[in-house]
Amino acid sequence: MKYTQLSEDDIISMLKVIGVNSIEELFNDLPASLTDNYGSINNHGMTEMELRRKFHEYEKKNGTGNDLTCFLGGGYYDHFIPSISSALSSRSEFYTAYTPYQPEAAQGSLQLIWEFQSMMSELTGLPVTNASMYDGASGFAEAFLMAFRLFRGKKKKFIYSSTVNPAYIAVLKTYLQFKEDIEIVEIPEIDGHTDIAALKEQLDENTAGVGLSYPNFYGQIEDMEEMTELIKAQGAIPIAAFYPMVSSVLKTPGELGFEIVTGNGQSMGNPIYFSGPTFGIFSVKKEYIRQLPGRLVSETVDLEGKRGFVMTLQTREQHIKRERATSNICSNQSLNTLLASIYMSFVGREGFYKLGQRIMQLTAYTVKKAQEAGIKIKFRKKRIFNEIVFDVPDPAAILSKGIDAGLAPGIPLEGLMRENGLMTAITEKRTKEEIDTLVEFLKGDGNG
Amino acid sequence: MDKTRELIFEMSSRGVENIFLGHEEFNEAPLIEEKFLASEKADLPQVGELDIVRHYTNLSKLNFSIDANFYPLGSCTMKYNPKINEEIASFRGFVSLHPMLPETTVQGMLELLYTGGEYLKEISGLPGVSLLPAAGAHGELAGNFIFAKYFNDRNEIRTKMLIPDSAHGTNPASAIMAGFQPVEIPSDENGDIDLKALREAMDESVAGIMMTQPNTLGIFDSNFKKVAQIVHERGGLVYMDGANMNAMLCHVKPGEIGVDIMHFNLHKTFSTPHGMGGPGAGPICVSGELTEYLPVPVIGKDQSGTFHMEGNIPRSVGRMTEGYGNIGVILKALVYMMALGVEGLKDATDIAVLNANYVKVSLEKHYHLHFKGLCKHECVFDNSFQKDKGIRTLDIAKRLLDYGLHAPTVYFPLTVKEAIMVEPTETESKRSLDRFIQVMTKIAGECNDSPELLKNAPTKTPVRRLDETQAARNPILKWERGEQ
Repeated sequence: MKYTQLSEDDIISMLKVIGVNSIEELFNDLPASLTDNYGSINNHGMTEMELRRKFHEYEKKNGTGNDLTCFLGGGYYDHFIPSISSALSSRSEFYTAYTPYQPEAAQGSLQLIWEFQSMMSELTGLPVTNASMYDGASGFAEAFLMAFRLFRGKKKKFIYSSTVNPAYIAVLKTYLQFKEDIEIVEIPEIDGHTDIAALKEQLDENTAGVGLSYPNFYGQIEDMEEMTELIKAQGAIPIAAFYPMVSSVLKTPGELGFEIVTGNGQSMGNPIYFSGPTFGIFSVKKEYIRQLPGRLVSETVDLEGKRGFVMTLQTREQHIKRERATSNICSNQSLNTLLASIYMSFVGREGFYKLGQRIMQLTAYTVKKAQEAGIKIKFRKKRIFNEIVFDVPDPAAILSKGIDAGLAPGIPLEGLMRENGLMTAITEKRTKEEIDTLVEFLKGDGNG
Repeated sequence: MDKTRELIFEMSSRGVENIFLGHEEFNEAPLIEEKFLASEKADLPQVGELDIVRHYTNLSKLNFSIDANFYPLGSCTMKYNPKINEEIASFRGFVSLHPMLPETTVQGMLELLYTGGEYLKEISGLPGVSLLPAAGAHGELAGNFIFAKYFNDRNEIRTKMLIPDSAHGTNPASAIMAGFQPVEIPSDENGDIDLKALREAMDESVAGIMMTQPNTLGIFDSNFKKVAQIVHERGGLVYMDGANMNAMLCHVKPGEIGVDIMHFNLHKTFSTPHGMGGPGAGPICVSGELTEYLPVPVIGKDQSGTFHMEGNIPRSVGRMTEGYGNIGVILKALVYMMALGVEGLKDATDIAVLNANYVKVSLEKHYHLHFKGLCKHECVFDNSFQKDKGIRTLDIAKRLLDYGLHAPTVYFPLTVKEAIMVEPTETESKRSLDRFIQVMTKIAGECNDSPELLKNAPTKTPVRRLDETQAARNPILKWERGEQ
């Protein structure tokens, strides 16, 4: 196939206007290629019919992967997505537009981003939210870079808890590996919670930022306020890795004292999609705005006094400040924030609260059923929002067995975290019947 | 302020609710201790489904988009985004897959990704690939980490990165995030890099160079191989910013002309939508020597034809993303590459360059062209012919909007004062190019006859020029309940 639309006559007349005889002449300045060999790329292309057939084959090759009851979490969750999401986000006025560089021709995009900033700030509890980062992990790393800049590079110690998502920690280490003379410290855990005494010991005047996870990777709600107070008392910046669904019923990270909030926005109306695209949440307190990475939209007026929106404080960004920019980020994940905006509008104030209640009830139901069945649960029972770590032998084997039985019962933590176990995520999409099936399965295969 | 245009928050009324949870009875008390519970509900809007649909539909109508408007935004490659890409990428079996599923249950997905990587290797002429970077700038960052790790491992202390003055702002911003000090290299009068300046700057303290090819002036650097040779002779590496690959697809492979690392912008070159600013994807390809430094995980294929994710690669720069990258974007790009094949990809480049040269020649009587001679996929004008009438590039851009055409990229590259950077792309018909030429010519006339039309433009857009100064001085970044 091709998507060009010039006729032979068009080409001839255009070449004449240009003053060359052939298209080849337009490429005289390119070095000659050494080969015509493009390996496995087909020569003549494929039709739509052929493409559909081919990709359906790939789809089938996933086998059962497509049809499992999903109890997997670990950063990506099988949440409900309303049908208006794809109906509205697939409007090509949204997805075939680019970054709103000409605000008069992009008021739709700009108002959307601004409304996203507003709604996401409600969930993070911090007043300034940018137009998005790539994902939770890269946002988490950028938060530490931001903390470093806020202290003008003078504070060189970066602390995180071992209960943070291991992918976030890995990306953080990648981003920081060539910063000179810095120190990265991991705070160990006790019974699935950050060791607060160890944190206290490590905190000093040289500490720029401390990264904690809310809830933590085990799904546990830690004593955040106690820790953010300790961190701030030492003049450091508390950074959250955050699952936005918790703000339906629990305190926002801003309320808990965090000053930079990052996280994966997938659970807000985005499909799991084998991990992407999703978007990274990035919210900060007002005083930090000049060091914020990424795009920001402000409300303003046009010259007739009409409400309008523009990108603002662009002097932080790479296209103006180049090497002095707050980040190199340019393309972000705007279309995914549109999905989040539609989602947050749809669930609304009451629905979001009920959603959180439902998740907590289903989680409590799962815990009760599991305990009745004699399945052990790790860590503190009164600190579970929607992820439960079951203390079962050989979680990896249980996962494979589960798949044969039509369900993905949870994530084996071995190799990811210090403690092993099978981590099961509950969302509003799971039914009592599905949970009963899970518990039956764990009782049989899990303990057997 | 005239608030005719409503915010979603202003459409909200207490008690309006969309029902989406089924009726189910629970006797369970929440497990969570009281002290963790929120004292107030998150103040999201309360709007019924139809009004939400109207709100977003009406917002969409305020946008210019490729599907509705000619969109010659230079350097951004706003080509048509084929609908079959969208359809296939939304197959349920792709969209619903969880990244933590065992590899045995995601073989189709892994094979797709592996295949996409193989294609990019063929097109780049480089033997290593990572699909992980989420955007072009993220690819640059991965590339710079690879530079840094490579020289660290060789115990070479190289602290500088050479970057031509016409480069995208992301290049220096990425280099510095990996610990390099960017050193700007000037361009010569032809728009090529100044070889003399390059030779003077290149020594053993330099890690390498980041070059955009064709460059942001739309010119393929005639000395590119020479540049690579100079850098390689002193032990440096050559990074190619592939933002403009649309001008060389299946004509020449970057790996053949001395490139060690490059990134692709799938949302530019391979037709995936720009989505109001993203998501894109910025896969990188690297030379054989650098393959062991690629970010993890890397997709492998074993002898039995089984695909797997390899996370344990000792020299890797590490992990760059939470998951496996912008999978949906990669799938769309793969559909596009398969749809076009080698012939179609070459045709895309042929016509992209033909269209750009046609526009360039047709407009150079009316607008000052910065560099004469053949261009590749884009060309750069400025306002020199118009400035004595007091017309700025911004005015020309805004006037175009009144004609229903999106403006070109303006004020970039920074090396051209008042730049107007036009990239028509290959998917435009001659008819739409002629209309753009006709409108641009008309605007050139308006500059002489009625410059106030430009100064006041736009008047036909949903808003007139906006007060950006006030926004920067006193930014309003979110809705406040009191504001109503």
